Amino acid sequence: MVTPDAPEPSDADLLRSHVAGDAAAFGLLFQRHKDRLWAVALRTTCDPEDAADALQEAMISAFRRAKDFRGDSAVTTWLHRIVVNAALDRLRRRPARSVSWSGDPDALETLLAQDGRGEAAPFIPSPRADSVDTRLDVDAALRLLPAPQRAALVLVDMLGYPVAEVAAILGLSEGTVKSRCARGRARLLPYLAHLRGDSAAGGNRAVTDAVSPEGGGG
Amino acid sequence: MSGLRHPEQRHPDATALAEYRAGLADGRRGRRLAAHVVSCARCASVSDQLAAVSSALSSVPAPPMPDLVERRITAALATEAAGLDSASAPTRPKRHVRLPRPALVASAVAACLVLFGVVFGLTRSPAGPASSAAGSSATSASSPLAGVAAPAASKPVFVVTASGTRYQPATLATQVRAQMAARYGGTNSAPANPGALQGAARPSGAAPGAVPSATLAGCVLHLTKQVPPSLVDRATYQGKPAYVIAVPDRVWVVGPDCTASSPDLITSTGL
Repeated sequence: MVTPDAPEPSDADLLRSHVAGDAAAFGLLFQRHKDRLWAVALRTTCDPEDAADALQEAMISAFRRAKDFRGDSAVTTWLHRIVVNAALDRLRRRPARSVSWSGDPDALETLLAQDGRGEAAPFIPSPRADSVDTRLDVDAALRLLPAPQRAALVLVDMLGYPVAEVAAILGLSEGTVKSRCARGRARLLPYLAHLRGDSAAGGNRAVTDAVSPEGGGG
Repeated sequence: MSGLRHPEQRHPDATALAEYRAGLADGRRGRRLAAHVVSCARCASVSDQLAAVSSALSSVPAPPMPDLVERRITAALATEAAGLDSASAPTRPKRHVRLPRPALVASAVAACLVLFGVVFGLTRSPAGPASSAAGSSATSASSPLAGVAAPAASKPVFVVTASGTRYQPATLATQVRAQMAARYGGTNSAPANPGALQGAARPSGAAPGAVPSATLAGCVLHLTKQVPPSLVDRATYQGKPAYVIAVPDRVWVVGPDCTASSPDLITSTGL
């Protein structure tokens, strides 16, 4: 969760000051939460250009709509909602790129290698715990998810928001958020289960074998 | 017997297990799955792997906002605060270096360029996001409105010239080499680092470089595989508007609507 770590005015104070005409207040609010909001936009769109555009749209929108904020959620929740909506909206307006590529050659190779799903999974590079490799694989894998599913999973698993808050951000029930996350995890399992964070990856059996519903049943 | 009484109680698929783990399987289905997972090593392993997926996702550090994105948005907010609608900002680029979008977006362009730099730098730098982005964002964090006066003052990866050259297929390589030589004194002096072009000596009479649009930047860096180009010239090719993009050993000619995902490539040749 975003913690208002600045001692002075709360987020709500800043928003009120902004509505009251304080020209600097909204900028301070943006400064306070920019990294989180950026991460949300970037992970949801999987594209830095789209993320920057979406975030700017979102901030302008929030700036203009601040007076409509009723305080029935945290200011951060409200800001996140606007950012996620802007990001999803931008993706809807750019449907042409079925495979969106950040421009990184390694990411592209990973993406292409994984395109064949189950078959290609064994060719995934060795599961080094190196964080750069992890991130590349995660970036590539996230693109495989439908955007609404990705938005939920990014907020819950990547950024660590509580399900209840993600439900408020996305305007969904908690059950729907959990369901989207569960489906997203299952979808990513063939691509990411080899990345066990810190713990040793040794001893993994072949993932594709394990997830097949037919495999050796009965 | 294995203790499973019904055929449908064969191994549940990963989605069912993920839903179970998320607390979505209740009642009889939940009990059945619970009983299965504790007695089936295979499904217990899949369940562990689902946990590993979450763990892999959570282990990726959140990238800090690149400095230029911050400046761009701060500038946009300052414009709002000044009561100006960004859409009606009167600033217009000069004709000979026409940009596809209004000038406010120029800062966005620079932002995206650095963004590219940051993102791609990160993929090569095991040091992680902190080294490249955090340091630069710290400077402007102290003054939220820094960059408003000169939103495009930051250094882009490259600039766009408008030499007026009429490129032709037969003479393309020669013309490109001449342009590069005129601008940088040789074809082998491609900038080693982003921003070097800004300080490069220009021959008198050459058009000053313009900051490219985000779309064009995406197009160019896509073609050059993120190598800062030696030349991006807005000109004509066979009489039609085109961008001529060159690195020391290659040139691309693209249409005006080139984007990273749809390069609109007219021709490309080695130099």
